[in-house]
Amino acid sequence: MVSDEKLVAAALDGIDGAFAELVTRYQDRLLRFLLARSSSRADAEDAVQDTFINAYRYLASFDSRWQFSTWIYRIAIRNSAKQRSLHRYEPEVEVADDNDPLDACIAHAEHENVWLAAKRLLTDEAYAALWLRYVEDLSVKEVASALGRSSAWTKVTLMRCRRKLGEELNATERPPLGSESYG
Amino acid sequence: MDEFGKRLKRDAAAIRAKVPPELRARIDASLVGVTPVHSAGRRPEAAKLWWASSLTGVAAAALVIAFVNWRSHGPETAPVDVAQGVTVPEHAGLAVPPALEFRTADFVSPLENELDRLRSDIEKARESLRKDLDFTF
Repeated sequence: MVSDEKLVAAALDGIDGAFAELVTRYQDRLLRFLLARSSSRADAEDAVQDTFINAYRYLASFDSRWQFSTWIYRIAIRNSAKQRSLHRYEPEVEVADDNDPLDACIAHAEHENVWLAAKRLLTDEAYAALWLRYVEDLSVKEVASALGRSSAWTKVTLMRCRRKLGEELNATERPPLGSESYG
Repeated sequence: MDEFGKRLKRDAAAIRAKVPPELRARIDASLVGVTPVHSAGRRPEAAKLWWASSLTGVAAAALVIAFVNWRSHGPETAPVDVAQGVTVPEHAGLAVPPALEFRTADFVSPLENELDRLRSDIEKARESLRKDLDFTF
């Protein structure tokens, strides 16, 4: 399989279909990630679209020393933050719990989906750090880069996320957590 | 990956987030109208010419060295009697130069003041950092 970075180079060289392949690879992953950060599914879909547009527009600024996933998630995080700041001054609309876009996309399982608990308990940044580290398998350094934070901050945040979620899950389920070292 | 990490991955996979064909069509359509911005930082041609600037630097250095050598080996001038060339004004003996009474402290105190200010700044920064850390942890 062609690497993301090679596809970026091909897209920059004007090869048809190279960027479309990147869109195919990342569209579902980005939507899944953005669902937790948006107030509705429509907003999440708009954020996905904006992310790809910005990525395409500024593709030449992509630094190939980094993974493409780090870069595109960074754009997605910025887009969703911008979207939220735009919506901040609009009249607030009451949203019932069962209309949560993330909740609506989660199949009802025996236990509560840990990401719903994460959304409830963690800040946006901490949620993003946890997602990028465990779902996208980015290194601590790459997560820090995507969030524009230091590695030390990222390590501490991840540790606190685990502890917080662990306490929450321990209250309802058997203890799921072990210790893990970062670095 | 530990058990908790696996749980996070598994639960993420349980989130049904399939981009519908309409959204994909929307993305593709919007990309057609986008013009990529060419970054100033991406200049492979310039990267290939790295030797040119090095060569210019070496040539300039060689010119400077040659010039300095030429000057130092130039025709020697006859020794000049300094006393002959200098004319002393008549009132030179009358003018009393101002007394230059500098103490060591005059030279050192501005530096000490600066050092105190720097120490104060460091202390403030340290205090601010300590507060931030207390807030974070």
